[in-house]
Amino acid sequence: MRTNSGLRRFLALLLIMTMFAAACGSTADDADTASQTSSDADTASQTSSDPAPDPAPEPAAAPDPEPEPADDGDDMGSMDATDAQFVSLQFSPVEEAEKFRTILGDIDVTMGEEGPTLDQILAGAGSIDVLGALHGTFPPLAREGALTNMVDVLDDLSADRDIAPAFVQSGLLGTDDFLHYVPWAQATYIMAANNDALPYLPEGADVQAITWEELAAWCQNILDGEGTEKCGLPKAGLFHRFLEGYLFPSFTGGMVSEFRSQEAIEMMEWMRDTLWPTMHPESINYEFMQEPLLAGDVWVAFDHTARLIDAFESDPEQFIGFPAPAGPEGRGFMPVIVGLGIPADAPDPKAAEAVIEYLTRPEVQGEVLSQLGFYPVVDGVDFSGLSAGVQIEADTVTAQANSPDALPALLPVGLGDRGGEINQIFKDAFDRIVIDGEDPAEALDAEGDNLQTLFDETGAPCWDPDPITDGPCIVKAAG
Amino acid sequence: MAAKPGVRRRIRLTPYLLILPTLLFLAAFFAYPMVQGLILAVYDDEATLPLLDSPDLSGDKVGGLAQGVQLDVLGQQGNRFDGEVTNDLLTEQWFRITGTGSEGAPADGWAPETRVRVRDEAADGTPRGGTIRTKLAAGADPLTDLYETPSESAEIIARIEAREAVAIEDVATLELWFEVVANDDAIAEGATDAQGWVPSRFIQVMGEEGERARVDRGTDGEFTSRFVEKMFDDRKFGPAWQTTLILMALILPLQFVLATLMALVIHARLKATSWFLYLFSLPMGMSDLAVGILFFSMFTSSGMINSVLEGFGFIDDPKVFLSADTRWWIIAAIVLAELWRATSIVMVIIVSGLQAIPDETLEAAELFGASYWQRVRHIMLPLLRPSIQVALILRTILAFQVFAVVIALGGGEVVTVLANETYRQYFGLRNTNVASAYAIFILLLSLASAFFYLRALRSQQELNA
Repeated sequence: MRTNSGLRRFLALLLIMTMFAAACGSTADDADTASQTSSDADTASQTSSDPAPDPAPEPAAAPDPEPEPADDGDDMGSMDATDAQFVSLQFSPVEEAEKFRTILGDIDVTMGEEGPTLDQILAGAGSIDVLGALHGTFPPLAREGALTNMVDVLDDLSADRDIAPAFVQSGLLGTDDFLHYVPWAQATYIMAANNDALPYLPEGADVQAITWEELAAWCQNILDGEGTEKCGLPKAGLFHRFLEGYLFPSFTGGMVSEFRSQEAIEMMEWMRDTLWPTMHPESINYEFMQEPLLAGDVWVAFDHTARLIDAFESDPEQFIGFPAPAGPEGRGFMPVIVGLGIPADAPDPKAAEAVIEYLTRPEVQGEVLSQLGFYPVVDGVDFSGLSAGVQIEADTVTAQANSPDALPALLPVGLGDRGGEINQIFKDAFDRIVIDGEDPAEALDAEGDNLQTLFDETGAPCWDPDPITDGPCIVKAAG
Repeated sequence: MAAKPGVRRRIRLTPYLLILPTLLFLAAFFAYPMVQGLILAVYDDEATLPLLDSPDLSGDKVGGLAQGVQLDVLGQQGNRFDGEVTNDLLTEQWFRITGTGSEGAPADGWAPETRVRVRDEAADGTPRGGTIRTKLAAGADPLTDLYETPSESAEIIARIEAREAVAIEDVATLELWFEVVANDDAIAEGATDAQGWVPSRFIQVMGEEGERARVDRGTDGEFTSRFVEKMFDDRKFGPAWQTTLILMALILPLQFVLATLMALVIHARLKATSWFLYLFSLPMGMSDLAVGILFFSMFTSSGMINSVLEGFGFIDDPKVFLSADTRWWIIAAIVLAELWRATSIVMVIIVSGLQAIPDETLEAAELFGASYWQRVRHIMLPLLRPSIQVALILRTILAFQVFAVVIALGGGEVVTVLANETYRQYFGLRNTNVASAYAIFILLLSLASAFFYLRALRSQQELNA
């Protein structure tokens, strides 16, 4: 009996020590996985291909080698897309990654994180053939000359498909003829509402052409009627896009040059006193608005199309989509562009071109739309077979872009690898005024100084919707 | 063991040989990254750009310009260059092409490589022919200029249309140099007024005619306190520092009391003592992020706590615990999550310390009439001092690194800690130097706390020795 209990105690302690070792070992990795962006903590330094993708590939999955008009590549690698090392910084959440792999069929893809992937390319690792990333990821690479000029790839692709010229312009990053990426997909941010919220709409307001004041009144009505806040903003998610592309342009007509104008001050006071109090207090934790929408915690939400898609798909009868609200200066909105680039030291550029050719086919672009909520950049995509949820989003995106007072605000350009700082400045300005209660004029002035310093140090000129300048952008002085 | 005269003591090498692999491992994976991190935090390797007296990398240095200084461009030169392309220069490739100009006459001139798509190469890779590329920029002039010499300030001798087929006669690789001087404002602020040449990769040329520029980055490094200052001046540093300290002040005492109680329960060897051990140790196996998400789901407005409170009728509407207005509730949730998760680590150490106390001592005390609590206070706790010291050091160092639980419960913005700021500086702002500064700060705090505990909790024997 005594030996038995001694043995059991020894085994128990052994078990504890193993768990201890496992727990302490996992804390090193947790720092990477701990972010609530719920991206897979894949190392970007994987040079081996991912395990074989899912069975049941789509009919369009077999990539054909791209017919080259002139064969100047001899020993530059195969033209087979399945040999390419494709790293995508988009679609990293698990479910999206699965859908993406199904669309890609035999082409392998590795999900990466922006910081480590950029460092890997800049260090000259020479292990990535194709990089799929947001527009803002390419300037740091362009600054170091780490990208191949995609103008020839675009030329070849243009032979049999039309790629949206506006996005090609964005890919030039201000140059005349160096194309840093081939546009791959676009997305934008829209509003979604639960049908239960519609009875609370203010008199005379058209939800498809709503204004910011009407939205605030709507949310206040809901708060009064339901006793609890039911509007939400993704403060833990892409909130800086909300401020940069939707709020500031609608009220001030620009993104940065009018940052500390009287209109901006009044807008922040209105935000603090009227709109934010009607927002669900747990908005500070919301990253994907589809979750609180589906849970019924939030009835009216703003978010990226890819982060609302689940709500629309699960319950298309319950939700409507509508364009972002308009302010005195127009209906500000921000298109998001995702592009495909080839690093200058890519080991197999021909395979890379084959991947790009595959992903820009209209039928594949249609698949990406219906599965992942990202919109095509080529003409000729068949919109007829879309599911109800995606159709709602597609209609809203079109309505927003085509509304008579639409004011497109583009992504910041020319900040190089300091693009994150401008997002921080906008978020800090909001936090200081709305959350911490600082004086709006002083806070906007102080953050406006930070903004001006950022422009002076990076030399970035202004961009749409601000008037384009020669030389660093000027943030106009207060008052 | 007095050595006999004339006999040498043999040096035992074996222990040192056994330590050697460990030392190598520590040096490679521990000391080296730490030193690199330390250097990143205090050394700016792009601080100044040297001005050279001639457009040549082997020229003499006449001065240096700091990053960001605004410049006037005095001149530009493209040196024809046949060597290996280094990363210090921005090289342009120019082709001398022949074809039919836009007016039908034969054209022969130099054009930058970006204007020509090479379609025909010789066996050794030399381009032989191609077509003129279209210009993609909206509003750009569709015709391409051909120059007399490979330079954009040379005379334009022909213009040629896009998609025109051309033959490539010659290739010139140019290294670009600019002659610059700091502009008046910069000189007034203390920059050198020396004039010199700089390689084009490191400056950013602006203006219609390219008459202005700014130093994008330098190539000479220097030690600087800039990054550490930036860390201390950061708006979030104060709150992060405060929150980390508050969390430690709340968690550590509670954890030690709890852990000691749990250890005493196990030490008492009750009927199901091994089950207590399993139960108390279970949380150690969960990752801190999982625990954070678990507690988040409990505290959220439709979570367990609200359901229980509403179910018992204590409240009518769900109480919002995790919002920007309820920071103290977020901190309370973090404390609870950490208490649940990490107490077992402390408990295990204290259990092992308790095991080391001889039973005879405790039995003797019982015989002499000491009550249970007297035995705990006067015998067990003093004898546990080394274990508590170890547990305190370990737990404090881990507490400085608390990260995943804070992110899961607070979103990382409203409530932030030092480790979160390290993460944000690198991943959000791509500021490796300031992120390193934060990491070194956490390291120094951990070292200081370990040192403090070792001194404060020295036993009487150590003091006497």
